[in-house]
Formats: sequence, structure tokens, C-alpha cells
Amino acid sequence: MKRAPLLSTFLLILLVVAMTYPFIWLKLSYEPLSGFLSAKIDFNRAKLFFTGLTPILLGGFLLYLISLFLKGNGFTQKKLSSIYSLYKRARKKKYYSMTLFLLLASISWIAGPKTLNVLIMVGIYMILALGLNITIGMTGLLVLGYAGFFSLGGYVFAILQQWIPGFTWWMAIPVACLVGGSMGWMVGLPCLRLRGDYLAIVTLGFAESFRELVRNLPSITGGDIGISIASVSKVGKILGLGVISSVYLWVLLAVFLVVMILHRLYYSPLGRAWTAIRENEIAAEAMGIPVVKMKLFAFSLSAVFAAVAGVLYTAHTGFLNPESSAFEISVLILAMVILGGLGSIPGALLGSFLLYYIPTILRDYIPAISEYRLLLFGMIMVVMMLVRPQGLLGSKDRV
Amino acid sequence: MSVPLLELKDLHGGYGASEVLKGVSLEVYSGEIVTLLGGNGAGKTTTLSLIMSIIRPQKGKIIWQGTHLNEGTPDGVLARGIVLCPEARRIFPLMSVEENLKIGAYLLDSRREGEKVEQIFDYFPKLAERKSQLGGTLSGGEQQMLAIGRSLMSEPKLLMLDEPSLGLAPLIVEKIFEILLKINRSGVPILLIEQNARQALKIAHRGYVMVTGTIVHSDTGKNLLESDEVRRAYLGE
Ligand SMILES: Nc1ncnc2c1ncn2[C@@H]1O[C@H](COP(=O)(O)OP(=O)(O)OP(=O)(O)O)[C@@H](O)[C@H]1O
Ligand SMILES: [Mg+2]
Repeated sequence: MKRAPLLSTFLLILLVVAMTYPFIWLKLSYEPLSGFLSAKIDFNRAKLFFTGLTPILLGGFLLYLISLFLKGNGFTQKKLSSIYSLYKRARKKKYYSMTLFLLLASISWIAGPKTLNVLIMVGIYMILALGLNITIGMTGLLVLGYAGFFSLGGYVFAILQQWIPGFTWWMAIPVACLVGGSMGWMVGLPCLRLRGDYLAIVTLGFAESFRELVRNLPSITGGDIGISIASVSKVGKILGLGVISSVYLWVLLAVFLVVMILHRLYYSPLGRAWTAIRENEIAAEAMGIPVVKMKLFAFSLSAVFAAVAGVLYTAHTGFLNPESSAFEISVLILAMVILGGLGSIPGALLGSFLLYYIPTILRDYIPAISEYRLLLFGMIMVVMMLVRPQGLLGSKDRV
Repeated sequence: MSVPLLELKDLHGGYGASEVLKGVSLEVYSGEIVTLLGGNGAGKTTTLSLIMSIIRPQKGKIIWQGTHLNEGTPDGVLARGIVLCPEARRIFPLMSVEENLKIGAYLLDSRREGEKVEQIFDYFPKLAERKSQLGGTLSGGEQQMLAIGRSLMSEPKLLMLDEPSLGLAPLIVEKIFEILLKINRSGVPILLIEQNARQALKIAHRGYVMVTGTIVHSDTGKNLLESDEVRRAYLGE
């Protein structure tokens, strides 16, 4: 009983490696001017890949062995969930979140710009993961092109600051909310009236066509090159801190606000209605829940959060290009939600921290990791499905 | 017994071009338990789907408390006081018993949720014991009780049940039907869809028998129970 999951995990990893191995050799290159696509076989890449990947695989395997050991010693889910309930109780205490906020805010004084840069990106991904969690986690709607709404929010800001001199990032937030929300509503309306996972495909199409649209409107969007943000539109200094520290504080505030809003919603009749739709749509309908409206609302709200994250991202980097709506980003956010635990707010936070922070830190030591991130995510997902299908902090067991 | 609470008049309906109901007329008066019997595929569930506005009628009328029922959506119909306890129970497996019940009160003022839950626990003490257990881990009988309790949470003026006896042992069925009788005595009219004709007719005031989309018999529960035809077709005698 104990050896079987070990063996099957190992076999699955082997299978993933075997299936992807030929592609690792393959080097595709695309010449934008001639439109010429060429493929070369490059054995060096494979070598680089495996030297880079070995420590990670070994590390992951070690973690897995430790988890098996803990399980064998009675460190079961019960203990994990007792830690979780401790955390939950602490949440209820009045000044807990205030203290946590101040603690996290103090990092902006201590940490250097490099760390802050990473933390800002973690924060932005947290907002994205929390937003996507509304649809896929709480309501059970699969969305594959979430980055499209992220990019949309960013472009709303980038274009407006080009048109209106003196337009700042915080002015863009309400506009992005409006545009993101209505775009979510429009994209969702035709497919949410149907049962089934049409939303997944339609959003995927939205993200890809948005990217093509942006690439082909160079007069407005800067085309492939992208848009730079004028310095007056960027984030100003607060409390006499440096610019990066200020951005960090704003992003931190945004994450806290989003968590608070979601926490409120999740434990209200609205959140319960979302869960009911996820669990059994027909029964939810029979209980008088306006299923289509609720799904549309959930999806629009998650589009709003993505758009806000897009504005913050653009304000932070000072630059935006069409790659912001790439499928890879949608997958990354999806992986964060699944790793953390579908439907769980702390899970989405943890998932985005792990999947952004750790690869970034490791990148300094293992250069190959950024190229093979997606492959790694795939492996993590496979292992997760086997070991802990509800995600790291998913609070409820599957039946 | 003057004006019926619910009246179906020559109702036609089905899925796409296919017509399942071919002119169904039926009444439920206030205070009654009415049962609609019929074999597999007769169109019983379809009738309920039409009443709940899950599908649209092709022809005919649904009259509720004297006016046309054209709410268009299930939540609109529920807001008018008709609730459906769906076929195969369909409880929410990953929600606790209590959460399941609270979903039923979705359209109700949320301050009254707690009080309603207690009322349901009075009908089903078994559920009170298992308040925080996940719905999916309940036994079949308990799940059915939960589904009925959940339907009652919206304080319906008409409770419609689609085959509550499905897949349950005779003893449990008897128990559930006893509770249905109790619910009815407290003032809730019931439209009961069943294949288990004997049990249903025992508690029903009146009954209808449906065969391939049309009503072939209607009489009091007692008469139907004694009728030769019904005995032969549904009671296996
Ligand atoms: N969604 C649907 N699409 C197409 N046809 C359907 C659909 N649902 C039911 N039908 C058909 O309508 C007919 C009546 O079905 P209905 O579910 O009303 O029967 P029923 O009397 O409830 O039977 P049972 O006792 O088996 O539940 C059947 O022939 C069935 O195949
Ligand atoms: Mg049926």
C-alpha cells in the first residue's frame, strides 16, 4: 500500500520525461520579418536541461519521501488541518490582520530592491490567483485565458496615459475595473448560458485574439514593441520611501483588500451559492439560485481583479507588451490556484508565492529553470494529483 | 375546494422537437397530497420541469394561485412559492448538512436561516445528529431526508417531490412518507411523483396515472389503490 504510490509517481515522472525528451532537443526559431519558422536539433540543450533539472527533481523526490515518512508516523491530514484551524482561529482575532499588514509593510524598509521586485510580482500574482480562484475554485468554471484580462487592464492604463497627459495609475484602477468587468460579462454571457466547459475555450480564444489585436494595432498599442509608461503616470513615492518600496506598499494593500473582499463574499449567501453551483448545478437551480447570473457575476468579478493586477503590473514595470496575455501566464496562474487548493483563499496565496518566488530564487543557481518552467509545473501537477488532489491548503476532502 | 392552487391545462412539452407530454391536465388543491404515478419514461419528471420553468411548454397553461405561471426561470418560480426536490436527491456532497440546508433558504431573509434549520431538525432528528457531516457521506435515506429538508427551507406553498423512494429500503420509505404526511398536516400541499404506487397511494388524497405523456386515470388515493387496473399495472398483483 505504501510502495504503490511511490512507484506510480516515479513511473509518471519517467513518462513525462520520456514524452518531452524529443522536444527538449528541438529548437524552434521564428523570424518575425520573413515569417520563417525553422527547427533545429540541439543536443546541448538536453544536456543543459538535465544538469539543471536533476537537483530540482531530487529535491522534489526528497520532499515526497519526507511526506511519506510523516504520513507513516501519524502526521496525517488531521494534524495538517489542525494547523489550519489554528490559523483560522487566529484570523478571527481582531487585530490579527492589522498586525500582519504592518509586519509585511515593514519589509519595504528592510529589504533591498531586488527582493522587493520579486515580492511585488508575487503580490500581483496573488491578486491574479485569488481572482481566478473565484471562477475555477469557488464556482467551478474552468477559465484558460485568464491572462487576457490581465493584459486588458494593463493596456487600458497604458493607452489612457498616452492619450491623457498626467493620467496616473490610480486613476486607471476604476477604469480598468469597469472595462475588465464589462469585458468579462460580454465574454461570459454567450457561453455561461450553456452547460459545460465552453468558458474555457472561449476565454482561451479571447486571450489569444486580444494578443493578436494588440500586436496588429501599432498606432494605438505600440504593436509588438509595446508601450512605455510616462514617468508622471508611474507610482509616486510615499512616506519618503523609494519608488520600489512605495509600489510594494500599494501592492500589499491591494492584496489585503482583495483578500478581505473575497473572505466576506465567500462566507456570505453569495459565496454559498457559488459553491452550490460548483457542487451540483441542477440542485442549485432547483434551490432558486439564479445560476446564469451567479456564474456571470463570479466571472466578471474575477476579470475585474485581473484587470486591476494588470494596472499594478504595468505601473510597476513601466512597460507593457502583447506577451502579457500569453497562454503561459494563464497556465501559471492556473497552476498556482490548483497547487494551493481549489476554492481556498490561503491556498491561492501560498500557491502564487511558491510558484513565483521559488523559481525566481532558483533561477540564479539553475539558469535552465526558466526555460522549462512549464514542464516543471506539469510534473508538480501530476505529483499533486497523486499525493494531495485537493491542493496544499484545500480544506475539504474529495468524496 | 373551489379554485385549485396549481392547475395544468392541456399541457404539451418536451425536449427540442420531440413531444413528451401530450396534453396533461391536473390540479392540486390547497392542503392536499396529490400523487402522479407512472412507469419509466412516462413523462413525470418532464411535468415537474415544465412547472419549474426549466423547460418551456409547447402548448397549454400552467396556472398558479389563479394566475399564469410564466416566470421564465426556476428562481422566479421558487420565489412564487413552488419548490422542487429533484430526482436522485442531488444534495451538495462537499457541503455539511447545515450548509446544504442553508442553501435551500437562498431566497429567504438570511436572518431567519437559523430558525428554519432548527425547524427542519425537528422533522428530521437524524439530520441534527449529523449537522456538520459532509452531505456526500450520508446514507441514501439520510440524503433523501436532507434533500426534503433543504426544499422546505424556502417555506414553500407547494412541495413537489420527484421519486423520493428511489433506491431506498421499504422501511426507510415508510418512514419518509410518514414525515411527508406530517409536513402536509402542518399545512404544506404536496405533489408527489412516484413509481412506488402502493406507498404513495397510502398517503395521497388523490392520484393521477400517467402513461406515455397522457393521464389515463385519476381518482382518490383509496379508489386507485383498489382499482383492478392499477393493481395489475403498478402493484404487480
Ligand atoms: N433532457 C432530455 N432531452 C431529451 N429527452 C429527454 C430529456 N429528459 C427526458 N427525456 C425523454 O423524455 C421522456 C420522459 O422522460 P421523463 O424523465 O419525464 O420520465 P419519467 O416519467 O420521469 O421517468 P422515470 O420514472 O424513469 O424518471 C423519456 O422518453 C426521456 O427519454
Ligand atoms: Mg423521472
